[in-house]
Amino acid sequence: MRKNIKRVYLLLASFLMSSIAVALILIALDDNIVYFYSPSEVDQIDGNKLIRVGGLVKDNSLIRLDDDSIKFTVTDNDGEIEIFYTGILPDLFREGQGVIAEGRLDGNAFYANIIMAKHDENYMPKEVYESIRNN
Amino acid sequence: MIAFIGNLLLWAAIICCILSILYSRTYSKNPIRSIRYTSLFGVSQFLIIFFSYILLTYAFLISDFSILTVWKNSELDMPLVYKITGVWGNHEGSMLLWVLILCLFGFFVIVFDTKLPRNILRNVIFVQSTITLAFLLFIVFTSNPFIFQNPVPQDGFGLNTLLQDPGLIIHPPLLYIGYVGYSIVFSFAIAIMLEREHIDGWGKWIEKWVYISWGSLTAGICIGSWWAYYELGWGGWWFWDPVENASLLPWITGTALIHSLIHFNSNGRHQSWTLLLAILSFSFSLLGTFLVRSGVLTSVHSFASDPSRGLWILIIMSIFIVCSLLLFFSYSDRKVDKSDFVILSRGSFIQINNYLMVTSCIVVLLGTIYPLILDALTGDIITVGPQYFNLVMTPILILLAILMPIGPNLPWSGRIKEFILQKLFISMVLTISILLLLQIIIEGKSLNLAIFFIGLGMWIIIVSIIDILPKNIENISFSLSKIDLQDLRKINPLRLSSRVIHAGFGLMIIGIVAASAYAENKDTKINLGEEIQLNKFSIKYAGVSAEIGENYDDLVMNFEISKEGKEIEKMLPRKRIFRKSGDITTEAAINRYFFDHIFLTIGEVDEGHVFASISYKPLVRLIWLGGFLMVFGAVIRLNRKTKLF
Repeated sequence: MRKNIKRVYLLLASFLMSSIAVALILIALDDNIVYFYSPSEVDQIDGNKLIRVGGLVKDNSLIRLDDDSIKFTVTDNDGEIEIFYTGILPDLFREGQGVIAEGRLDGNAFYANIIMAKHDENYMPKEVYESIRNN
Repeated sequence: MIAFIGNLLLWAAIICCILSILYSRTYSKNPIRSIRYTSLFGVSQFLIIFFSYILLTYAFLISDFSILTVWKNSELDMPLVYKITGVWGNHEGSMLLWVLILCLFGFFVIVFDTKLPRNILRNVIFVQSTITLAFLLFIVFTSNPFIFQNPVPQDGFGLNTLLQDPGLIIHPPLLYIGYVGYSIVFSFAIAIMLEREHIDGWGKWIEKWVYISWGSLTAGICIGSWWAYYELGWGGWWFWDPVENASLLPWITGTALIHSLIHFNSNGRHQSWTLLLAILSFSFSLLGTFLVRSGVLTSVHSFASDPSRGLWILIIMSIFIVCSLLLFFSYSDRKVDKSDFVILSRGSFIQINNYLMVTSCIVVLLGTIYPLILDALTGDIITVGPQYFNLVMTPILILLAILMPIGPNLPWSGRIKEFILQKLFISMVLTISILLLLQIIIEGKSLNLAIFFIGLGMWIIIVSIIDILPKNIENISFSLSKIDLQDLRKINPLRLSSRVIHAGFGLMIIGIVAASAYAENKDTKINLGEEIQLNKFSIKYAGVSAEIGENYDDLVMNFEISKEGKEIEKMLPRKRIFRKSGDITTEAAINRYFFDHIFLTIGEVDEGHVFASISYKPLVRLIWLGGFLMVFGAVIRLNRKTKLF
């Protein structure tokens, strides 16, 4: 085959592959982006999309229900939302600490699939920090 | 005292880097002196940083809380092994390890690559010293491990409880050898491009560094996956977490680099690809460093952050990437053969592989940084879910799985030999037969894409096995006692290593598909004495006991697993309470059943009952088995050069 014709084919093939790749990416990206909202922003949401909500767990709001699922309230000191969850809570979950829940909104309640709580290497429970500081 | 010496050493190392750089530039005036002093200061860099690292470790060992880093990341009661390995469990210490490995690779090149032309050597050390200098300055000004404090506290904060685990001992060092190993490949690439003339056969100089980096990175990623699997509590082994993706990017370009290098070493083609992939691999290593340490990402992996650190890493990274790419695009080697290729040849399959790898890099990179870009532009906070990555990577993976058995069997040039076509045909027939059998046994009449993917994995493995069998098929004896290690030694090591690596990858595919498609799970409350069914197993909750550890207490839940009435094993998941901080971690129990896992983790514990999550993951062990097989393949390849065994 002539070198030039080969180059044209090669270019066409690359272009085709790139277009397919870009199309795939855009389609896949669109359906799989999960937006994050704070509790006070949640009332703006329409519909049933998969979203994330995060904030602090309100003190004394963790309750175990009769069917062994749990509910708790997440607040950003401005708004709050009630979160329902069946499953095992992560170890770092604590009232008064930060948490992120991923799930869907149903009316005023949020049904979570996953609950995430994390800290980095600098985390120190306040009580412990105070006691070290005072010694 | 320690802080003073530590800082002194860091500055001494900085001076050595500067001297190395300066002497490397005097080569044209006085080559002998240039080489002598460039190398001398290259070796000195390493020795000095090595001592500073030992010093920091010593500070941890004696619990010298006058050193800020030790105070923040260690405690008197911490187990010895975590005092030693916890040095790299924090930002400052791990940065020092990073720089240590940078110098170490430079040191190895100086001491062991004796056949390297001296003008190349001095430029390799030049680039390596520049990188080292940049990061040493970064350490001294933003991340100094030797900061002194007075008064000296009585005790420290201890290491993050999630990190007090054997995974900390091996995962970071292996990863760093992988990431940082690409720096030396990068340095070689720059050194090559700085020469005006064409250099024949330079590819063999970087071969071992390419395999060491790739093998180490593969091992590091595998161990990281394994660690997340048992530590994070829900039995996931890959989350498309931004930091995981950051380690995958250099791995992908590193894999493409291995293949380009094979082509380049065989017939001098793909020089540009090899150079570009060398630059990209290290660039992605730098990007990974940036993503993990800058605080722009929220992840269970990220280090505590200070925005100024992020900015400096971004600057360092940008300078190296921009300069190297400018050099690359202005580099033109007239002597490279640009003649045309045939579609069905090994070289063109490697070319296709390169394109697929780069595409997957772009795809993963996009998904990883899209949230960052969107946040910067619109303030919206989003996450890109794992489904995106699975969706876009799957077609690429399918194509790769088809390339893998065929590509290495194609000729570099000329027509495909008859027996190769026969071999491929037989393998396909074999694979499809086994596939049909599996389909009937497992799925019956229903169609499940999983079987198809398992078939792809199997095909790769079958062809790999056939490829390493001796050529005279008639002479194969099927008696196991006749298989001899000597026979394995007679096989061409390049062929053996490549087939082992590909087979490992095929095994991984099978493990990933089986564990994803056929996994079963129950999240439920179990009362004392109650028995739960999962797949073919019965799980009974038998009660609670306690165990005491060095700096923790364990609340152990006793479970009995039986299959068809016969007890197989006890499983002991636990809640670990660290005495000092009150932190609680959940330690899962994993039961190995051939290549499957039963995965048991506990949520709430109460009087008379527990909340448990029980999973059955078929063939999940193949994931890591495959991964380590790939590492083993790289070791075989390295051994051919260095004859370790």
